[in-house]
Amino acid sequence: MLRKFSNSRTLSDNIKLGSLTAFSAGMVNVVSVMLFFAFTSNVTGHYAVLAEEIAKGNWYQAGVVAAWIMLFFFGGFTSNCIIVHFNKNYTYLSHAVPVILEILCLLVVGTYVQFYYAETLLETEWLVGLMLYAMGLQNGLTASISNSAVKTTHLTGLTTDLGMLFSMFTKKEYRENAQLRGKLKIQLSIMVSYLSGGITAGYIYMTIAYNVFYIVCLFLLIVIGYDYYKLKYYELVNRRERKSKRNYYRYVAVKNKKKILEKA
Amino acid sequence: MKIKIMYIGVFVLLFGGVITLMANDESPDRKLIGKWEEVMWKYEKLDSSEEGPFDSFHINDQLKQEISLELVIHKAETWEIRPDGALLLHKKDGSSEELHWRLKGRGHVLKLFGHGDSLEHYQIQKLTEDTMEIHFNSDLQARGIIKMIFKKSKNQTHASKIQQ
Repeated sequence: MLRKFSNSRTLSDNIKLGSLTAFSAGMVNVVSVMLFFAFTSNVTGHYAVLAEEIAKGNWYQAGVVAAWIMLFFFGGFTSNCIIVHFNKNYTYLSHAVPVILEILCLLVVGTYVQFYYAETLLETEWLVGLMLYAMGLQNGLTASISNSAVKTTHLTGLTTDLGMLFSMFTKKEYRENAQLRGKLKIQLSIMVSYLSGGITAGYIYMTIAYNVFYIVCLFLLIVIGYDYYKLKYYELVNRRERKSKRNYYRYVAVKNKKKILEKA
Repeated sequence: MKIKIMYIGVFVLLFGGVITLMANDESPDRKLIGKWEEVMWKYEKLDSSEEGPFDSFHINDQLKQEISLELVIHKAETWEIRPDGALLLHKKDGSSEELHWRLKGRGHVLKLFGHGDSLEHYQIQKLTEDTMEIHFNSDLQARGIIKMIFKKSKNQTHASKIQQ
């Protein structure tokens, strides 16, 4: 999921990455609405609220919403900054660091809410801000490494794209186009995962409360861990292949040497 | 070097803008502190109205009591919101009840609790120095949004400011 970059990614890579990250984004969004009464993964609504607060002259609230939008922006900025600077030499690491940062943000929010949250407005504003930064990190990462094929917190664009795709599929030539069918698969999986994440979070929140944050972190750890495991696995396979090749050449060399000696 | 300065400049400009906006206004949790007198109850949708469709927002006292039966704010006339998170509901008969309040979201949702298991959320539609308008979504007999308008008690405003 995280090992490959841009056009070298397969459809399966993008579906796996999209599903898991969209599931976690759906969970984060629903839990933040239930706990803080603020959305954390759809920024379009925040722009509308910002405009409304400015029009009403509520400068404090306008400032808060502007800060939230900026934190989402900085999340995307951080992700892509890490990728563009380190992708060449440390592909996996540069893709894993934004996910690690996201996990850290969500762990801070989860732990704070569980042990220290006194429900003051200032705390709510900071915690929502941190979650928006985490979502910005995730959206920036998935969009960047998949060449914008996977945007897990951007359901407005996704729903528009789905509408367009379904209208295109009314023509046979588009239905048979493998690229378009792949796109449909990715987007449907993101949509279903986002929704199931939200439903799961709502259910978990009502039963085991704040632990939902730790479950989101677990999902993100699977994203990192899966690729780490694959990398280690391929490394092991490569090492074995190299070793067997080396042994083979050594064997051939010894055999040739014997032949030469015999001839001599 | 030039690009670094530009990035830092934009960053400072953006955060400066946000801080200026927030510093120019009072936080909603500070605006809320004080004694609020209930001025009006309005209802978005009444089952029937003798006054005609344009007057359907108005509500009589009996209906108000029936609707508010399930709410924490039942029969309250004055809300005293304290900085420590306590909310005193002063009723018509002189008695009072203590609840707790918290603000959620960007300060647009008022959460009331402390009345048994009951938990109520009100949308703060307008909050100025002397006016507070809150909405409560109800599915009770009159269906729709209950709109409550409060005026800040002048003496209390002064007293609470001194207290702070």
